[in-house]
Amino acid sequence: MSLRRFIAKRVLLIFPILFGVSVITFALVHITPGDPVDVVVALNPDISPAEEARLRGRYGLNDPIWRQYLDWLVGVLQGDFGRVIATDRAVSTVIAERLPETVALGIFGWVFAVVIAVPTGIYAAVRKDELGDHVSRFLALSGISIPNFWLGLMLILVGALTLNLWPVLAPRSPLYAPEMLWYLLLPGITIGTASASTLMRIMRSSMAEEMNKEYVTAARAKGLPERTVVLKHVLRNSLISVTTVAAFLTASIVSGSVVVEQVFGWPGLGRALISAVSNREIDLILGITLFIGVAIILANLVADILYAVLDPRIRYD
Amino acid sequence: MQAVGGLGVASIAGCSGLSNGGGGGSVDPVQDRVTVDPADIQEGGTFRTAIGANPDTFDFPESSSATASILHNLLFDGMITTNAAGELFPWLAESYEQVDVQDVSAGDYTDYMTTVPYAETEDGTVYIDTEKQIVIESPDNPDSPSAGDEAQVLTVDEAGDAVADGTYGMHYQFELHEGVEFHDGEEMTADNVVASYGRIENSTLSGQVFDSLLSISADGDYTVDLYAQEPDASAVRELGGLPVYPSEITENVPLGEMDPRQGNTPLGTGMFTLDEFQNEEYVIFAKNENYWFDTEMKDWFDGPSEFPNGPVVDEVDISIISSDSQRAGALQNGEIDMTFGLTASTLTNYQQSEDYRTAPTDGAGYTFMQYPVRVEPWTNASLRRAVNKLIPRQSISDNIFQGWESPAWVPLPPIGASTGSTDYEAMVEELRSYNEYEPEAAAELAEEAASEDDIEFPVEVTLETNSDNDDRVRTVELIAESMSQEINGTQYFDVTVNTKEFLTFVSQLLSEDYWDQGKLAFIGLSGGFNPHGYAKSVHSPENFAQCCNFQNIDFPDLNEAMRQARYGVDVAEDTQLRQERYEDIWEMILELNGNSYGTHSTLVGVVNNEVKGFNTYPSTQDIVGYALYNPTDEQITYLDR
Repeated sequence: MSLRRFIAKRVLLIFPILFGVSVITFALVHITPGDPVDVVVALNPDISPAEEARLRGRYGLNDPIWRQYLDWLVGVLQGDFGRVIATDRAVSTVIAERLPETVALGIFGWVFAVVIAVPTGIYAAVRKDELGDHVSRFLALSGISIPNFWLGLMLILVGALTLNLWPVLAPRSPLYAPEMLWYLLLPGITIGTASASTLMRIMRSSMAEEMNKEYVTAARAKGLPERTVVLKHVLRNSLISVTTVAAFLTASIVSGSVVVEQVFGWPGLGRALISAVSNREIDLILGITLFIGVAIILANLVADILYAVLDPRIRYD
Repeated sequence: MQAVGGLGVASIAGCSGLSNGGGGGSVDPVQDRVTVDPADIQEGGTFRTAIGANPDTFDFPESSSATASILHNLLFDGMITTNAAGELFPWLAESYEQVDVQDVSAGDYTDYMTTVPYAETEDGTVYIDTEKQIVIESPDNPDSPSAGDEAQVLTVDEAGDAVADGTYGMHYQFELHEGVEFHDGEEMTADNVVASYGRIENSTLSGQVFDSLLSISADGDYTVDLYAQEPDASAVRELGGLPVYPSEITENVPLGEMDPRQGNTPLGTGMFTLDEFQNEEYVIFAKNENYWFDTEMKDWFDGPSEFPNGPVVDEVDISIISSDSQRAGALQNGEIDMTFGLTASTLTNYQQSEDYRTAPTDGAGYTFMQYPVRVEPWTNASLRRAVNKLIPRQSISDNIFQGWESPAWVPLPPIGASTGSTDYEAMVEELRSYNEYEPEAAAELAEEAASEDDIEFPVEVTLETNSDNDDRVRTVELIAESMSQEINGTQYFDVTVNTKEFLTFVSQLLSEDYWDQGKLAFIGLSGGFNPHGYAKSVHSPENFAQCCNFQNIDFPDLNEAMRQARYGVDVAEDTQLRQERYEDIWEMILELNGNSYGTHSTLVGVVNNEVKGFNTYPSTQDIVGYALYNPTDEQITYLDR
């Protein structure tokens, strides 16, 4: 199958996947007790049954579930993702406001992961089975094992409360302000650590595998300096698998933002999603979930394409 | 200042608080109040704090959530206000008086009523189908109506006719201050007040207002006549403190849209104006430099002449941070000056630090456990009283709340003491035995219940609470352990604890089928100064499937007693009589024991040492506004940095 056909097929697959995601999310939201009107009633205890019924009617919550889903779906196909009931704002507006914050955090986490993983992975491969390799393996396993929220809390504890170098509260500067790089550091490290650890292990094993190949032995036999062998020949070939895995890891960075944004009070999509779940804001939950779903699918698609582009021997069946 | 100081309902505590009304108090609930010498006050600076949730709206009638109310109270004023003890003071009004009280009930309005149909939603909920605000329903309306039946109702359109004919329960007259200006420069008149009250119609808040309000009208530019439906001892507190808006709002901004997210700026007469709002991130308020208030306007003000005529901080900066620990961290890191709503252990840590001050006040609520009174064997009052004797209230207070909350010996928190009792301490002494931890007495009561009904021990039961309140979960675990203990070789109860996320739990509690599941529910109630809310919320059939009668409690004698304590010419005119009636109610409640009470709440604001003069209001909703400026208690906060 040609790459073009492969991409076309994958793009077409996006729609049934997103449909499935929306159906499952919609069902899960409705299985969970409570809806946005319950929140209103809990906060305004003397609300009359008539007003409660009117509110449910206004937002279509009295309709059968299948009808509510169809109404939502038709709206989405027309570009209307619904409204946030508590604040009466369009879901698309909320997503548009929050998206840059999440993208900035994701890019920072991704760059952090690559910057940490590549040199450390090379070092571990070159120093295979030596102390440095063992230390890097221990760090990598720790990075993969430590939960995001715990790492974030520890970074806040040390960086903000002990060293007093970072704020506990989210910054108020615009994203393009230079000081935002400083503010991005702790949440960026938190979100990128697991990915960095995974990438590092891939880098290390990929490099180690390449270094055992005959062309490396030949290069050494020709008298090429070890630095040239590693950085020019081995690294280039090793990066194929690392690049594809890095693209896959974008998905985990996107999903990880939900926890990290909550821990750091970062005003992105992840925090909005948690808030929406707490308040049973059905349209907002669906809108953000769908958006995250698209991001993950696209990341996987990019990974597949990169894999094929970087290694022309690969063909898709 | 405290725009909602009068609302007479209660709400479920755990995510929200709501103040309410009643008589007044004389005992300051603020523990260890700090006072400020006006000569020491430093003007200027930004007071920084954080709240736990995004405001759902700045349009007051559409929300009474605690976090929104904190913000509303900086922007809006009402005709009356309260001090921390719940005493009422004229505010936008120069004075007010109760003109007369008449022996009128809902049936007396029948001649003015119109007929409207009942309709039914797809899920079977039947409601009265009219676009008009319903003021009173006829007592002759069917108890279990069906769609198509007809209802007799008095709407806002006919309420004025009834008043014109002299049919009303109470008449209050408010004389407004002249020359008071809104944020946009318009002068406030009686017409603004009437139009602002009209904004309540068909709003989320309407149920809380139109259970008492009959009609409101202007008499000239500065006189407001307010009429209550019945002789109602809580009417003026319920109705007198609602916020007043300029014409720009009442004439041009639809209900729900007085919000920067809708492109509109909230306008009132309050001591601050809205300067900047970033949704779900922060709100900044700027001092209203043209604030109307002057201490010399008020006869009741007997403080020093140097006392300022408004807040002295230039700015209030409120971050929106849902995590308690993050708010505590921000306080520790110097990013905010005050936080609240922390767990007991965190409060104790702050109390022990020299760099912070904890400012506790008797809170506006209690925790309670509600029995499934309609499900056997819980229909037996002796069995319920047996459980009540197994709740270790003192241990809960000492060990879990580390003394920050006090045992609930009576079903009335101390802030309702002066209106809900003739002598609170004596009442506590007299009724305390109902709530003492006495396993032997519990065993006797359980045996008594078994002899009355066919009960096999141990009674298996599930005790539920919300999972996102650590102190509460520990409380429930302790109660479960205590209930499950063996007494003289017999285990009377076998308790399983079940915890759920707050909204999931509340949604289940508010459903109409929770009552027959046979589960015990443990949750908090946030009320106010009005004793009525504490009794009615958890017992009245009117509050079934609302806050907070989840188990369909309906004791006819208690219902009548509650009504007699609030409504009627006698209690409206005789405070002492009302207090006596409430004392009877508390005993009746303990005897019936549909609910068992855990601890009375304490609200604690924690401030850093740069904050001077801070005292905590009993209800979360005014924790910022009250602290910054309230001359009724000569309360003012300034920043020393």
